[in-house]
Amino acid sequence: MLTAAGVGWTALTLGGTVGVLGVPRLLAPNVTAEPEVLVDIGELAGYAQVSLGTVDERFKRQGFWVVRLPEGLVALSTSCTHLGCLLNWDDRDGRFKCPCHGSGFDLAGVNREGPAPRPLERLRVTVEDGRVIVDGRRRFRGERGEWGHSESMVRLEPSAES
Amino acid sequence: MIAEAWTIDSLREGSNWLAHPARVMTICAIGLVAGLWWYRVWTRPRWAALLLGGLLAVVTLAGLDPVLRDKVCRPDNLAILLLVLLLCFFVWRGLRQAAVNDDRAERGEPPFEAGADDKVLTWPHLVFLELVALVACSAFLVIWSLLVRAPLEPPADLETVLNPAKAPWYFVGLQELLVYFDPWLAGVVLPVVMVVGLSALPYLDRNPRGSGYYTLRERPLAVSVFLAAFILLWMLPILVGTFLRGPNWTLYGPFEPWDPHTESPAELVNLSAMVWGERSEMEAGFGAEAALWRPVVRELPGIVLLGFYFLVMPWVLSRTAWRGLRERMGSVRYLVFSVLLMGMGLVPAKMLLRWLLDVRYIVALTEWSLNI
Ligand code: FES
Repeated sequence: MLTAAGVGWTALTLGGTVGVLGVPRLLAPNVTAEPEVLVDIGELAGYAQVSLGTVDERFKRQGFWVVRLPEGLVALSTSCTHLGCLLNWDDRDGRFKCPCHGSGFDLAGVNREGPAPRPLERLRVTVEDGRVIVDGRRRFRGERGEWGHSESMVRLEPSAES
Repeated sequence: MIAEAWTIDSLREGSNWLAHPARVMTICAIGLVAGLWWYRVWTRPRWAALLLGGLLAVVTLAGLDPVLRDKVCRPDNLAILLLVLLLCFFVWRGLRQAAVNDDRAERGEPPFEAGADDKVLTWPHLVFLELVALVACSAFLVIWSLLVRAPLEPPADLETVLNPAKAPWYFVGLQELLVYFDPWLAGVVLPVVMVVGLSALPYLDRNPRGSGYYTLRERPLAVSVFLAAFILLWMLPILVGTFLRGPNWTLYGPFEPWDPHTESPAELVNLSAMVWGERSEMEAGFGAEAALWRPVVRELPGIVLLGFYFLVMPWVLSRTAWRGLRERMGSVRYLVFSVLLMGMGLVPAKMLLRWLLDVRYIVALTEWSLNI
């Protein structure tokens, strides 16, 4: 029984079994990037004070950035429109940059550099009782002409100092 | 001393400049053509030893630079260096055997392999050897990865991502292709075409020559297409992705440190926007209600270009340079062959368009997530 071949085959069988059993665990993702459904991101009045071009990174874990554009407030999805990698905000260049294949998006979410074929998705933003609510279930895609939709942005006066 | 420092610095800068994928690819393509042309000369043991010495000298010298050494000696990158050496060795070995056989054929002798009477049955001889090799290699890999402390990356996290986020080495080439293509193309279509194309080879290529022995003279097209695809389109992207891509997947020369704050790369435009001017349409996009033909009309320049590339070019070639090939293969085989070959050529063609003209997509039917 305890021949070299016996030991070898037993080890191979055991190793193989463990390996096969491990496959389902390997296939299950450790983290899923589903944005939370409804997120209250705070008082609208507070955001009206914020200066133009500010990127609020507090909600990255929930899957979006809050960006103050000249026309208003948008919630940009944090996943790259190329293959879905998580982007990083680079404030030196003013770009959302992708660590996977080098795409870059400007403040408005428009794809500028790299292979990303379409702009970042904007999450639905609404105002209820003076508070801004972001809804991850509805997304507006610029390349489909959906950025004109009233809920793709909370309109603000371009009054805040630039 | 000052003169020396100046020389070394300019050497570094020169290599950084040369290391742009466009230039590396051109240099390697020229090298490949030269290597195939003069294969009987450089594969002679004396020349090959000289070349190997030169290669090792360059690798050693370059390794003196701390920045490059740091990149190459990362535990998961060391293997890539090994890969380069192995690649050089096997290309040499294959071409050397081919040179020997081609010389013999010219003297009217049978190929070197013909006399060998060492045929054995696949089962059990080969399969058993393969099992032993598999176990031995696994053991070696486990021990090696323990010795160099092969990195296990931290668990996935929604706030911080590794930057650059690199695939395992055998997929870095594919990741590098993704820089130039839409995910469904580089991640799904191209790999499927590769697998299907490789499996189709025995049916496309029924030429019995070169079966069971090495030769280049009898199979110039087959050998050079294979080597070009394998070296330029599979191995080279792995090298570029591993050693030349830093944070944000930006290009860095081999002697440039991976400083995460570099300038953004060039802004890209779609071919349609170049033809019609402006990217306004892209930004606004057609609404969901817009007629189906509107994006198609917008992308017409790219569609015409691709149609010309995939249909007209093979047709023209079949009337001119490849007339003999088409006659030998027959129309159906020639059609499949040319579509596969053109698909392969699309990769460097797209890279060229990107490097020279900053083109993002040739056809960008973004509304339907269809980009080429
Ligand atoms: S996933 Fe962002 S560039 Fe590919």
